[in-house]
Amino acid sequence: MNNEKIKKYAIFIVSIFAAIVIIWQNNEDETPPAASIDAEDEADFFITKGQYTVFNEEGELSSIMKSDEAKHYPVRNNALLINPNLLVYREDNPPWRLTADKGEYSMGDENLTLTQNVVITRNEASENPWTLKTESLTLLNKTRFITTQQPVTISDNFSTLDGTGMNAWVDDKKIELTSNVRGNYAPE
Amino acid sequence: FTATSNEPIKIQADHAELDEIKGHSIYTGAVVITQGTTVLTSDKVIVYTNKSGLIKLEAFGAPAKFTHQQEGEAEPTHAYGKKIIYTRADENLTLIDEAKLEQGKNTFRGSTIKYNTVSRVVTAEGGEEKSQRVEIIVHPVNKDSGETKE
Repeated sequence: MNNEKIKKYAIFIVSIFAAIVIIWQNNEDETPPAASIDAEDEADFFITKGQYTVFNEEGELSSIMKSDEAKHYPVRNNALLINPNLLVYREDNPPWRLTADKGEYSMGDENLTLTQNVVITRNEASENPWTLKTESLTLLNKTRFITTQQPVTISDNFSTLDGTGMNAWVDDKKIELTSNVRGNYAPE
Repeated sequence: FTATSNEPIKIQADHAELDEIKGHSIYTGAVVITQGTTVLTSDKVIVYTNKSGLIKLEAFGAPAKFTHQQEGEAEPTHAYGKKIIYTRADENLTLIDEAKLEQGKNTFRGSTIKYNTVSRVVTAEGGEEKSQRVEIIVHPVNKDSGETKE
């Protein structure tokens, strides 16, 4: 009888111990990795009302970026921007202006991702300004290529074009909408 | 399509490419263009614009097909061609390569056909080859009933 009792107690103790280990494991996984990075990656400097000017290899003006605020994070080596306003200069043509509520500039690959109320304006001073609106896009600075998977609306005085997904080659002055295209040309 | 119409010209497609230098947009993939009751379907369309808006459309298909329901007409006009050009200034539709136009029971064939979307005048041209001669089939109209005879 004694042996039977001892066996029961042993099983009971082992299962309690196993439960404790499982719970402890779960707690271990719950803390998201990002949270631990965030704790370490605090902004090391910030700039208010800053301007960041880039020239190309020939010394010509390539782009001017302004923002209300830019915070740099050393571990991720990127800068988070408030109200970024970027002018991208083009040969023989007026620049493109890119604005948004937020931006993230990656120092490593020099890519700029804009989010929330993103607007590209072209020929803003002309009688027929052209705008492209979306919720987010990425500008690859090195190749001056702009891309998004989001819905996009392009409009000027007499036409509106909607599509889903967009690629733009700034220097080739070409833009493509990659799916679900709806165009609307107003009557004269 | 008519420039005097106050309906917008609408386009649906799978893909679009806008070329700022050439001042045109290329639509591809099941392209459907509509303006009121007028419909143009094709595989590819190039839209030319200038400061005042759309000036010309070039549609390419196998064939491209244009359908226009004229007010007061019992049957729509159907136009076909491997290439269809619409120019807004003179409101002309030019059908090129295996061109065919059907107005009710009347049929026009040729290598090139010009059709004015306002005056509805049709001009057909033959090609060099024998097979591309102009062919016109006009059904006589029954004096009493006003209907076209078989």
